[in-house]
Amino acid sequence: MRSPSRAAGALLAIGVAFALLALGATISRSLIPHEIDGTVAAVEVRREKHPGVDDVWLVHFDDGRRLHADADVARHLSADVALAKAVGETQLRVDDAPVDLALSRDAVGMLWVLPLTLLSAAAAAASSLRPIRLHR
Amino acid sequence: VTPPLRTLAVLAGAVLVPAVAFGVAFADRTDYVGHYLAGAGGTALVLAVVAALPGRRSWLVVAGTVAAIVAGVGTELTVFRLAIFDPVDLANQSLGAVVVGAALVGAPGSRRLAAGLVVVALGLLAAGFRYAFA
Repeated sequence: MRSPSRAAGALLAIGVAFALLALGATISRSLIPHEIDGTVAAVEVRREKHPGVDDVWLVHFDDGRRLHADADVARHLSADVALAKAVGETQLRVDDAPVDLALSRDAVGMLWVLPLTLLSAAAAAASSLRPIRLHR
Repeated sequence: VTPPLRTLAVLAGAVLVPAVAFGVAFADRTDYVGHYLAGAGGTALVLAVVAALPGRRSWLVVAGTVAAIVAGVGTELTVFRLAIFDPVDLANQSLGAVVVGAALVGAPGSRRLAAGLVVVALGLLAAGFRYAFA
């Protein structure tokens, strides 16, 4: 493989890694991938650049664990409630009352925006790697 | 079309297509497209230095892109760390960096390409900050 092609491959591999990071982080906030069995110590809302839109909801557990959750989920929670669910389960038991979990709009959007971004990078690299024609 | 102009046109298209997708998919989260565009702009500025060198410098482009990504980690950990260190913001800006690097990885360098990249970079950075903080 020619060196420029390898360089392009390295860049695309970096891109795939960051795409997986974004997808993993947004899916994690649905709480679906997590096993949870504990009592909430506090639900904290931290303001970001656009208050009310991109607030960060943090669920603190009494064992010191902390989870970043989607606002739609975290709004159901408060201090002293008991939470339980298994890995991959789409229902969270909040003091034995069920709360349905789903991927956020952010996570669903990432499912098509990230592959499109990687495709765009790959197409740009392919165009860039075309042989150079020397003009007389 | 001269090689520098063609490279800049491909770069602009490769950056803007995902930017529009970010805007459509996350209409209420303009910070996502803001981070993406700022990452692309910052990287274009770094790679303008590499582009000023004659010939293909593919691995220098990779090194410059990685340097821009690392600088982005630094800014996310410090000046732009508001609520938390957000891996989604980092990923979006790094993807912008990768798209720009990919568009330049095989491009022959020239002073015209470098000058064009500076102009594109400033435009992308301005748009990125506007969307991130608007």
